[in-house]
Amino acid sequence: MKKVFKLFVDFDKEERWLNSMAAKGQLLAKAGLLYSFTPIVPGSAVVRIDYRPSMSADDFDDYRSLFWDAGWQHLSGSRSSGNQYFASTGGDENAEIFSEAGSKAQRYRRAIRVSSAVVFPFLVVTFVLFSSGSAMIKTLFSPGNWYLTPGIWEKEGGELLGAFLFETPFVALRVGGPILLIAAVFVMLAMIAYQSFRYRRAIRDSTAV
Amino acid sequence: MALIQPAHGYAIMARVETMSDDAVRLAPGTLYGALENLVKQKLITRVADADPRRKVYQITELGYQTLAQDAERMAHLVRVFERTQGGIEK
Repeated sequence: MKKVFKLFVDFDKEERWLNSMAAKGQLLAKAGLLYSFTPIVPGSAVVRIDYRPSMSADDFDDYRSLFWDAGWQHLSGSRSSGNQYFASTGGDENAEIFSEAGSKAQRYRRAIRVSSAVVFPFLVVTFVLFSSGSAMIKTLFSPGNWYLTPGIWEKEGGELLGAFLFETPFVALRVGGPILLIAAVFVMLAMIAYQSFRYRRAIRDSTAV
Repeated sequence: MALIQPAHGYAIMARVETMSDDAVRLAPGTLYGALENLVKQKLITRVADADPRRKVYQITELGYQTLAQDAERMAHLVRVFERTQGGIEK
């Protein structure tokens, strides 16, 4: 079983990549950060991606049954994974799970709504940290104060190295935590911005005459 | 209109295809979203059925009224169009 590490925020790009893998005889078995594949006859399947916010067990059964009845095999995705991967082995390489461009664009809107709900509490925490002028944030912007050992930078040689190595894990915790939080917020906001761009473009294309 | 008689997902796809003389082929992703929206707008509703894996839907009173109004509006449009066409031919 082949495994590949990849990260996507664009459904269309991800679909194209999975279909190029299928054309090479590698059909998606499980998606995530690590994609695993099973061998198939090259080009015998087409892969499509839907996005659904978490569903109840009943809804998930009904959802997969509908696709199954329509000739789509569910490859990967759990009730709460968002992304749902389907394959059609009917031989039609243009088979689609959306018969209308507008409904295809809604994938992005649903994804944006879910990621916005996830990022919101992080955003509030970051905002509160900054606006309260907390010591944590002040420390962040003055690297000279990262190390608390009195006179650490006046020490020399082995003594400096010892103090430095001893304190570094604590610094990483104190400084790394907030940096990680802020970085995560930025990454999520960038993801949402990109998906909104994709959504608007897809809607514009679907209504263009 | 395909839900005046109750049906589950795939039956709806088949019915829409027959009713439209093969002109409309719904794909499952599109249909699932459409059913969700119609339920939210209370135009269709879920009805009980033996198969727990496939939900069955039927049109509601509100859905039927909306459909009838829509049909009347379109019939009116056709009448106006035909009248205007007659005027051009004269």
